[in-house]
Amino acid sequence: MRIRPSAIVMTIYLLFLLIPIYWLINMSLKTNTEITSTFSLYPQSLTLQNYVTILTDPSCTWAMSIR
Amino acid sequence: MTTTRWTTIYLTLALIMGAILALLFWAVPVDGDGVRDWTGSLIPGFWMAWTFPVALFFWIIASLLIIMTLLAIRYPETPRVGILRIETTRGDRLFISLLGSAFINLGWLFFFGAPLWGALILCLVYAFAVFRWV
Amino acid sequence: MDKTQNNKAWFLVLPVLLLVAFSAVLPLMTVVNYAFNDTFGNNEFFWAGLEWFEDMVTSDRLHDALGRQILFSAIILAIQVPLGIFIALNMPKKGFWASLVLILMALPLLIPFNVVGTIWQIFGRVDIGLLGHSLAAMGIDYNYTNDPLDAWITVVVMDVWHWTSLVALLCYAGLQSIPQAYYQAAKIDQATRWSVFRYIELPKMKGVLLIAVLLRFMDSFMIYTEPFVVTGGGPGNSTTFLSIDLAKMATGQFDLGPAAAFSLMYFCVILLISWVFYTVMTNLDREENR
Repeated sequence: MRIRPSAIVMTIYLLFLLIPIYWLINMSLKTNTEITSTFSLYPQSLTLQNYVTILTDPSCTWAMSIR
Repeated sequence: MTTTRWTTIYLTLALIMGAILALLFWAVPVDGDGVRDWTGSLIPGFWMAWTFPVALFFWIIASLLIIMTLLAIRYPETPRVGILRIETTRGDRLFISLLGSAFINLGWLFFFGAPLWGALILCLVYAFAVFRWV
Repeated sequence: MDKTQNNKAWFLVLPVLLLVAFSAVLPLMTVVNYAFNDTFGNNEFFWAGLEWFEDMVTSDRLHDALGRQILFSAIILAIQVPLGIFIALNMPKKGFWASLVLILMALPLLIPFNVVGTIWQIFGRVDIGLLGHSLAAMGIDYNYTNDPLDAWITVVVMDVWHWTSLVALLCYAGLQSIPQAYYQAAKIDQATRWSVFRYIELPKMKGVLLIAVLLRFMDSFMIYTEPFVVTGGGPGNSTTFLSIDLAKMATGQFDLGPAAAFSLMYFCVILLISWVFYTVMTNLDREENR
């Protein structure tokens, strides 16, 4: 099967669009120590603690006024 | 419908605008020697300290808009193509004149500095040219 | 001329007029007033006349910011417009892949400006960002907080990332409106790929392309949030664009008079550009309808 050039172009462009977004999500699932101490392409110890913090910590919820 | 009484409308609007202008003149603060302080606050203590030159600027813009509106109602026009090869109406030409005048003033400030009387004359010439040929 | 006239409907416009007066006209009037006065807050004003305007038109700081702004807009247009057209030409025309690609391409457009700045701020960092880290691993000395050129590249790439999809989607819409018969006719004439693009696709895209150029120019000329989040206008002043400079002047140094004079000049420039684009567009329409 022959790969069409347009598919290659679109793949490269979409990768360019999605990698920064992936990196943001990746960072959000890491612990602070993992972010600063090691460099990893995916979360070694998956954690949702960051989301818990932002939804419960008074200094964060204040910005969203949900509490 | 009866014929519109244009003279009455003209007179009323002229009276209103004239009264506003007179009010502005009257509000210019006068010091002890009877000398008018043209850049003094029109309403002492009021928010933003509006002064006569700024008020006059808005008064002129408002008057121009009123005149253009009256002209548009009384003498409807079709757009024409001038030397710029674009279709313009009277409103377009007023806009071009005003915006161009702003840049003429800024240019004058850059090259010659204040005062701007020369720029004002240049603007009037420019506005006349725009209304005549654009 | 005996037709009955009823102009009472004009009164229905009154609420909108009031709204516009309070949201647009009054603030503009206050800016004009600020530009001619000196103030230290506390509702105390001193007449300054043309001082601020004179300061601003001759200020090197403003000339530099204007130069950077024009350069930035020029680079943005030079990259995004050809790239957008190129992407649009390569997008799948129909089916599952077309929908998927459309959704994925719209993603950056949906992200708030602040977050776009944050994404690239993290992404470009040498210690924790993928881009910065990879470049460092390849032995390229990249650091957008120290090197003006790197900062420029980061800001430009970020804007390309954020907005190229818009240009591409607009062009894609233009391409989709070309009837299949045009392509068949071109095939019969044995037209090359280039002449199909030059004589069929480009003329059909002209309208949307002009809108895309207008949008991108205006947006890039007024850009504030994203570069501010990434570089804060630095290093030094190297990525301080007009609006960042304006905000520094108005809120950072509280120089309200100069900032007001500056914003009025900015406003006039924007008005001029919009007017030129609007005139060109309406004239294009007129020629097409002739």
